[in-house]
Amino acid sequence: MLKRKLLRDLWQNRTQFISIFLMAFLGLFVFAGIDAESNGIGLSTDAYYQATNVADAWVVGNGFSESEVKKLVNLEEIESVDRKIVIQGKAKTKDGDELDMELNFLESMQSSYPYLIEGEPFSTEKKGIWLEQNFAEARGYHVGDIIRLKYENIEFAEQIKGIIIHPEYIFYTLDSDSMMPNYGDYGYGFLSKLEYPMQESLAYNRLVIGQNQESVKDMDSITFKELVKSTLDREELVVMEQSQNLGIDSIANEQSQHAAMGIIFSAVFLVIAVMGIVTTMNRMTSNQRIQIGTLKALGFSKARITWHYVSYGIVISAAGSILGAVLGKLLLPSLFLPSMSAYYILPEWKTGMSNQSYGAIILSILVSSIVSFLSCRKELRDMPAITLKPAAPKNLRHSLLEKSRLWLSLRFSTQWNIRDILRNKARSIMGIAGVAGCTMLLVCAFGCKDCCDEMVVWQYGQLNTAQYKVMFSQSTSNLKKREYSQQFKGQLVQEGSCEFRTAGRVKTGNVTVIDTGNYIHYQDFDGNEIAPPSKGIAMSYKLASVLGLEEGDFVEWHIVGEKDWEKSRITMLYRTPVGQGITLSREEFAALHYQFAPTCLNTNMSIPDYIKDSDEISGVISLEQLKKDLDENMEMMNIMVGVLILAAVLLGIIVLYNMGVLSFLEKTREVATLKVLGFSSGRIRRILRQQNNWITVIGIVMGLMLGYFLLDGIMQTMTEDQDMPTVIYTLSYVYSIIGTWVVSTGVNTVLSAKVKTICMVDALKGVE
Amino acid sequence: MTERTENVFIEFQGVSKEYGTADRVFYALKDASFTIHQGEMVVILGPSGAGKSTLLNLLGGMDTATRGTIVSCGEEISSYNDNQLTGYRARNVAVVFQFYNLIPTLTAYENVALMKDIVNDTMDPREALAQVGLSEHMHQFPAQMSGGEQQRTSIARAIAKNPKLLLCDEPTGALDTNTGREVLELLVRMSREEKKTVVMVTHNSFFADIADKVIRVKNGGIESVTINEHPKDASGVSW
Repeated sequence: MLKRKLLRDLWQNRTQFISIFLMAFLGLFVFAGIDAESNGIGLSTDAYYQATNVADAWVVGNGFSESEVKKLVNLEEIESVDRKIVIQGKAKTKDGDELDMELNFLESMQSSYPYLIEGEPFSTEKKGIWLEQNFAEARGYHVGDIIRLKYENIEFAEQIKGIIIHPEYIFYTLDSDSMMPNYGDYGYGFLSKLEYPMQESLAYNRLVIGQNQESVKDMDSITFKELVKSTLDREELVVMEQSQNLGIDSIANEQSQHAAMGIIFSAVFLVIAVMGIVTTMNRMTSNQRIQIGTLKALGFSKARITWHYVSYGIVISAAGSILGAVLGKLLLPSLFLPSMSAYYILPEWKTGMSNQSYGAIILSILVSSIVSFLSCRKELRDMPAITLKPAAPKNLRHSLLEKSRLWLSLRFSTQWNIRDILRNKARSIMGIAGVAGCTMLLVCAFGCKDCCDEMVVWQYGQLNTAQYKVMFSQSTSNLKKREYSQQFKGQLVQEGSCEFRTAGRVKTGNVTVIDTGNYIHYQDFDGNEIAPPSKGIAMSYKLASVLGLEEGDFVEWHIVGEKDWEKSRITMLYRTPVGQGITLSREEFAALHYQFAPTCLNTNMSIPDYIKDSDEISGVISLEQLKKDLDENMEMMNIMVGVLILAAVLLGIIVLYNMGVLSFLEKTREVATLKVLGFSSGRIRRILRQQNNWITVIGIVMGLMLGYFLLDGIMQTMTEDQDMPTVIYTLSYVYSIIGTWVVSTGVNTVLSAKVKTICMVDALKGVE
Repeated sequence: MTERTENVFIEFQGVSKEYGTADRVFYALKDASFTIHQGEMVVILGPSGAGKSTLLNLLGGMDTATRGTIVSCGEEISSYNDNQLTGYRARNVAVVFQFYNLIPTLTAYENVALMKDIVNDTMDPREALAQVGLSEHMHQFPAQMSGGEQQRTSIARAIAKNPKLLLCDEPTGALDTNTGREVLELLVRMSREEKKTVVMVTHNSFFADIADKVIRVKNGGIESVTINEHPKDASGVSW
């Protein structure tokens, strides 16, 4: 019979219980949904890496010999070594465009197999090319077609044997300045070494290594890297571990970012749900005090009664959590899929909840049960003789304010509301938390977009002001580059990869060497423009903090492909959103005995087509195009912002409505009394609205601050290669305030309309 | 008037219930001693604040005494802890309250059937409701019933449990005279025909006429215990 009581009580208090249900639902919907998505990424990549036996490490260098391969294979730590040549070629498409194409010529293949989408399996013994899927689709290539390729000045043609994707290219961009990929405008292909156009000089520049997992189990990455270098006795080599592959690293980071966001947002909902349960269960058990006394008097044991009341929490939170998790898993991942699959290339996108989701369901139910348990324990403490009587009125004490002179000068409505808030602290705190949560999510939503906009403005409006970036071919002479620089009044820049070494770790990053010019700018931590470095090296803040370095410290570094390690003092720190690394002036670079070999030219003058098509130029990137690509790829951000705004509004409505109904129910008698005394409904509504306005204002102020901290926290979860400043525009704060105010006033208008419906006679009748 | 000594069902010996601190003690009941026999209809009479409800609460195991010995239904309940008291209530006692204390979200039938959750050999709820004349209103919620109907439901709930001891706290307090008389008739019938021990607390001295024994309480003490050799029928009482 107590089960029936449970169901009918739930129905009678449905407004409150539905709001708790919705909170638990939303919390688990977001958590399990994002978990299913982020955990799904892990499942998908694991399956992909396993199917393709992705390499454990790569060695980048020049002219790897057969004996060097043997030396490595003889190491206990290494199971397989394959040589390959990776070159930056061009594809001459059917439309006549010349597009970048990274070509991999493999001597053998014991790890990192291409994943076949269509055609025949790849083999190092076969002729032809295996072409990347996005490029093939975008440019209309099919299996059996002939594709024309070009490397330096050599043109050659290959038949397409297969359409593939490759685990080393989960994410890749054309140059380090691009933040978003533009698949289809460039691509890659895999071929046998037999197809290499310069068979007379097979200069292998990459080793693909499969580790013996047993032997490297306890080995850290630095030791392994040193082992490879010392075995080959070549200090200039760069050894990259699997986690240093851009794609593998990016998608792993993405996965943890999503998981972190899932935790942050669902925590907000679950905290609110718990507060909802606290207020609702407290109200319910104190309202049912005499019923609890009766059940005790009838002979029900404490345990039975406790279990009965704990079931309320369990039923509601279990229903909300389980339904939320199921729907979250089904619906949320598909929201992320279009943008994720535009960003990362995987053969299959799986979804699947991890144990964390099941843990979250259990936690949600457990917390609700504990809260319910605590609130009914209070009523069960006394003997039934006490519980059968109505509770003694709260021991009201005058607050300090009420004792002051100021109190007497306050209007009745103000006094009434101050007392009401102070004497219903839990309800008031929950109301403030609801409003604050709503504002916080709104600030966060608008702020996310601001940060991205700000990053674009920062990177392409302040740090790099050139309209065009002209990329030189490898074969272009330095003299020619200087001529172009004079012709287009540009600034020459050498960009390359670099390895950094400190006591604790080894990290790869960028090295930028700048010639005189006015297109590349530098800013300190607070965004003030600072002069480019003239002496010593300048390091980006993010890299410095990752390596644990400060201005004035020394860092060891070496350019990929160069033999010598340099040890330089960091003379300046600068902030940049992408491309973390170091910058040197051309003079400083020369002082270290390096030859300045620019890789690109920054200019504002437009580049005529005949120069773009010249063999000396490998490509021209325009600022406009970069910005456009970025905007087009902002879908993911827009989805996130949309989800957040929706969540904020729902949160606001649910909490405020719940709080409003609670306070309204508690105040029914008081309101009826005021009516009997002759207060008009309009006057009473104004009194109720006043309290709501106070709570809204306090909540908004807190929410604005919390929103900033939440966003800052999210930005901190960005990868080591990005440095996103937390920026929230004033307008975003204004939108958040207006949004919260609209939700709050809307809910209050609906609720205060109930004042009219209060029947004075009914409300003032007996309590039972 | 002589007091029987055999078949003592309830015995209070020097029972006190104190509230307050060491320097300021308030006695809700002071040094109360009396006995009740099996099957007796007992009325505890006294004005508001005299200690009647305290007596009833102690008798029902709903409160604990500060001092003294209480034996009821063959158990010395004054030495019981919380859990033992719950067991005592479940096994032996049924209570009829002034304000009925029905569970508002359960129908009349369900309120009676609730007893099945505590006791194994309960009366069929339909039969209990039929005995109090409520077969027609079985599926109504308390809010849909009159005060008399609610109180009769509460009595049905009590008799369904088949208790050894039926305690009634001002059972007619919230009812009009006619309805109150019907309720009284039911309680008297329980005592006379079903041989249940019925203890009723009231401030209404007219009810003394229907009792086998009247215990008068005043200022927390027992003022007198009188035996009524010829108790009246409930139909003969008016107030």
